[in-house]
Order: sequence, then C-alpha cells, then structure tokens
Amino acid sequence: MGHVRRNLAVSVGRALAGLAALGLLAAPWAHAQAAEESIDDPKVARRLGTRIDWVSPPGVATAHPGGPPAVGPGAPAVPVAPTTGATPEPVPPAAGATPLAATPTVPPVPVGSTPSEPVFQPVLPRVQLAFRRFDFVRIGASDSNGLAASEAFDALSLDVYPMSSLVRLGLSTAYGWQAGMTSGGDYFATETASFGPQLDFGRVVPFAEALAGIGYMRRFQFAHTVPTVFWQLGIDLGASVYFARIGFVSVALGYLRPVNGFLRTTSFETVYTNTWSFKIGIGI
Amino acid sequence: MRRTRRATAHGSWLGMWLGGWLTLAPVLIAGCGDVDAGSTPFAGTVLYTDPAGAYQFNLVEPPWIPDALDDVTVFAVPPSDLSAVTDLSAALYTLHIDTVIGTPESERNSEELAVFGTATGASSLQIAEGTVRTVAGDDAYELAWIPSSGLFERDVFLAGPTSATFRLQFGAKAPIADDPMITQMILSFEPL
Repeated sequence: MGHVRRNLAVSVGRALAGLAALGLLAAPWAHAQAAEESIDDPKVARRLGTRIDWVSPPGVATAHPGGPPAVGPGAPAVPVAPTTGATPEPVPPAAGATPLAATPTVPPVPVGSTPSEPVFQPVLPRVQLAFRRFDFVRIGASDSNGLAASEAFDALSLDVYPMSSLVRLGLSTAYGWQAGMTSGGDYFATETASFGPQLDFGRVVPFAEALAGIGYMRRFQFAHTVPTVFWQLGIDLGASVYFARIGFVSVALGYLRPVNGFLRTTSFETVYTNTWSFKIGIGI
Repeated sequence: MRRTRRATAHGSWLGMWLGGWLTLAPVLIAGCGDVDAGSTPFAGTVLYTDPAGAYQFNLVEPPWIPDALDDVTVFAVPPSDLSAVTDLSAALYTLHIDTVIGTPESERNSEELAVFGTATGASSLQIAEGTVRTVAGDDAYELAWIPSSGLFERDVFLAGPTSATFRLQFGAKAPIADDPMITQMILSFEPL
C-alpha cells in the first residue's frame, strides 16, 4: 500500500501542476487577462468568436490584489491566487511607483478612489397635472378710472407631451374658473398646444415653451350667461425637478395674452390683456 | 417599411399636434385681440348715444337692451325665460334716464327725503349715499336703498349742460349698491 499511496501523491501533484499550468487554479483576474489573449488557430477563433470575460464586470477596472503584478519577460503568467475571499485593502501608491496594471481595454481606477455613482437619467415629462393662476379682466366692470376690473382665474390642466426630448410638444386640456367663486362666476375650457426646448440636467430639467390655445369662456353678466370665445398666447419659463426617475414637480412663470371674443349687437369684438401667470404641476 | 405600434401612435400624436397648430393658425395670425383692456377704458362694452344727442354712456349690450318709451329711454335686462315677460316688472335690471331741474346734490337730497317719507318702515330703511367722479370728470351723486324685499334701487344725479340734471334710476332684483358693472355704466356717463 505504501507505493500505491506514493504513486497517488505523485499523480495528484502532477495533476495540480498541470491544472496550474493551464491556469485553472489561477485567480479570476487571470481569466480576464487570458481573455485578452488571442486564439492562435484562425478556424477555432472564427468558430468560438469573441470570448467572454465572465469575471470582470463591465465597466469596472480590474485591479490586482496583493500588490502590483510582476512584469517583464521572466514574470510568471499566472499570479498567485488569494488564499481568502476577503477583498484586500488597496495599497497606497508609493512615491514614484508605477500605477497598477489593469486590463488593457479598461482605464485604470486611481487607487484609493471610489467608483463614480451612476448618472441620474430622468424620464422626461410625458404627462402632468398642473395648476395655473393668471389675471384677466372682467368685461363690463370698471375701476374708478374706467379700465376693466381685474379678474383672476385659476385653472387645472392635464398636459400630455407626445414628444419629449431636447424639444417637447405638449397638448394641454384645461378648465379654469373665476378665482374665489364657487358658483355664479366666469369659467372656461381650453385646448392648448405648446412647443419649446428643455435641457436634461439630471434632476433638474429647465424648459421654455410657447403656447397657443383656444376654447370656450362663460361670462356671467347681469344674471345672464354670455357665451364667448377664449384663446390665449404666451410663453412659459420653468423647470421640472425630479424626485424619482419618472416623477417630477414643475414650476413655471408665464407671460400670457388671454383674449376674449364675443358678439355685440352688430359686431364681433375681442378684448385682450397682457399678464403674468404662475403654474405648478406634478407629473411623470 | 414596417411601422411599429409605438411609431404609429407617435405619428398620430404628431398629427393631432400639427392639426391643432393648423387650427390655431388663424388665431395666431389675427387673434392678438382688438381692444387692450389694460389701456382702453370700458373695454368690451358698447357706446350708446342718445338719439337726441343729450348724453352717451357705455353698457354691455346684450344683455342690456335699450328702448324708447315716449320721452323716456328705458334700458332693461330681460330674464332668460322670455315667455313669462309681460311688462318691465319682469326685467332683472332696468335703467330709466331723464332730467330734473336742480343741482345734482340738491336733487339727490330731496329724493332722499322723499324716500324716507314714503317708506312704510322708515326706521329700518337703510339708505346709502355716495359720490363718484365719472371718467369725463363730472361728479355723480348717488343714492341706494331697498324699497321692498327683493327689490333694489340706485339713483344717480349728474349735472347736465344747462341747469338740468340727469337722473339715472337703476332698479334690480339683485343688490346693486356696490355692483361694479352698474358702477361702470355710471363712470362712463357723459353729457353731450
């Protein structure tokens, strides 16, 4: 039994030496390094195609633990595998030392630095529920100087952006009512198209858009409902602030020209004013 | 070329958007508005000139309808349901314009006394006096009261070109003492 045991030991030793020579006992980075080597036989290379590096995650530089690997013609091709699974501490570079070697296709990561966080990429606005306030005029009512009395409107809108990238195209369906009036006041319903650029700065997406809309406005004058046409032109400047990748709140300051058109006894008359507006919204 | 469902939906959205802009094009071209309410007094109203050339003022027409009855011009806002209208008492708002002899202030004071004298519950009668200056620069002396439940009166006296005073008598079935639309009609009144 003694020679059998000696032969077994010799066989195991040779097998391990062979495996080591093939690199199967090498550390994972040895696989990454081997992956970079080309296949000598063109037929085999064509059949196998590009070899996959199973070890190195994409985009992450592979640093050799346990100190810099030996370089030079006499250096062994397979470094010594770490004996434990623990991640070794990075070694601070000595003065004048050469940087750590890395796989040729991946830039080296400076020792001691942490990998950069992934860039926040929001899903640009597609749908938004918004609230707007602006001042218009009350037709038929005046202040002491004869100018039409101011009349504030609040409006809720559902904004849809069928195109939203560097520019955005929007369709806004809005319902507005005379501010402070629960009943018996003026109100309107409009459909508005908008167009303008937006810049993706990550969590903040500033935008500017021109808008034009048209709809119906009910004027309540002397206990009578007076149907009128209402349209508006304007610009909005604002920003969408993302609290999640597909969720944002937006704030915009606008400059509007609301126009009210209505039939008089013998004519169709239009009245306009120029006013500021404030809009806030939440969307995805 | 094969179009995906997403591309088709995207195309339809673009079509809707372009269609919307084409619909709005006439509005964009001619739709900036005629009257700037920020600088033009009485925007959106109609200037009414007395056929005899005695005065003019602005009103919202409709719903106001002017009509001449003998020597007095009457303006009225009829109710929405015209089938029940038999006379002026059915009107929601009325305005009579005539002239009286005297100064505006004295005429206002004498009318106030008359209102007190004819009121059945004079102790509870509330009369509001006021003075406004029209845009033309004339002082208008006002008197507002509630002659009976559901009826509201507001009379205004303005100096005419001669010794006559114009009297504007507003009546309504809603409070009008502080109605800014009634105030606008007073502010725009101008003797000719």
